[in-house]
Amino acid sequence: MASAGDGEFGFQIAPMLDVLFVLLLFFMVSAGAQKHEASISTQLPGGQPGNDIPVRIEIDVDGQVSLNGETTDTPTDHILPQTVARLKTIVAENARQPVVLIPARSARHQRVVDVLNACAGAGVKNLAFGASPE
Amino acid sequence: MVDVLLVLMLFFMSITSTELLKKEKNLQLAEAKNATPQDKKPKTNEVVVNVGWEPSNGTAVFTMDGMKYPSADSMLGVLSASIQHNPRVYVLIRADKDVEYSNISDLMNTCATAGISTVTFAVITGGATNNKPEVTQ
Repeated sequence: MASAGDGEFGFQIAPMLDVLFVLLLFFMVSAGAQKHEASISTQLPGGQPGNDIPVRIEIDVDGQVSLNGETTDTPTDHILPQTVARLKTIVAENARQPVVLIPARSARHQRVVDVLNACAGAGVKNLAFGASPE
Repeated sequence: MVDVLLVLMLFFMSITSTELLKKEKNLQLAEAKNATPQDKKPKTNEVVVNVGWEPSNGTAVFTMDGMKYPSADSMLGVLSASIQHNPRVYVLIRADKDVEYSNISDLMNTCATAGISTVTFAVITGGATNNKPEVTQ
């Protein structure tokens, strides 16, 4: 008695297509969700000191940012909108305004990058690292 | 249709694997949206220094070309040799986001002592603009 399963097994295209679709979706989602590596360039050591009084940006151990001695934003704010706004105002008056970044020695690298990012966003062109008094 | 699907899958597979090759275990870079995207071309003038962070004992681990260094000062010789070999060399610092700034500061001081004037911080970004500040020390 011949059953329905007897005979030749042909290549099943439909299951293969299903698997291909699933794999394709997986790699598409993986590729889209990836974050890319970028860089913030620096020059060491600096050029000749100018006549302008530099703007001091300090970062304390807790990540609190202060601009010329006045605290701005909160230690948990990564975008630093107040700092960016004040820096934009300063840069609008003097495009080559020197800015000195003085992080505490125990400050986290992420916080330093946050401030570098804020400076880049505000269009600061003349940025220097200063020695921390800590 | 199967051919097209296979080609698409290979394309996305290659993108994914290329990006994964750049990642390093135990190193989580800081995030910055205004950073400059890195050039895809091979960089002959670039010296990459990885700065990892050991939270258990609160120390940084410096790695360059697969060699581990206990401190930034101990890299002075190899960095000096790099700039003597190629005067246009610059240092790409790939530091973990939790590394204390003192370690980065020491590394920048070592670079300056070795005569390397250009230092670049590697960051992770989702989108980028071309604003690039000049940073001096």
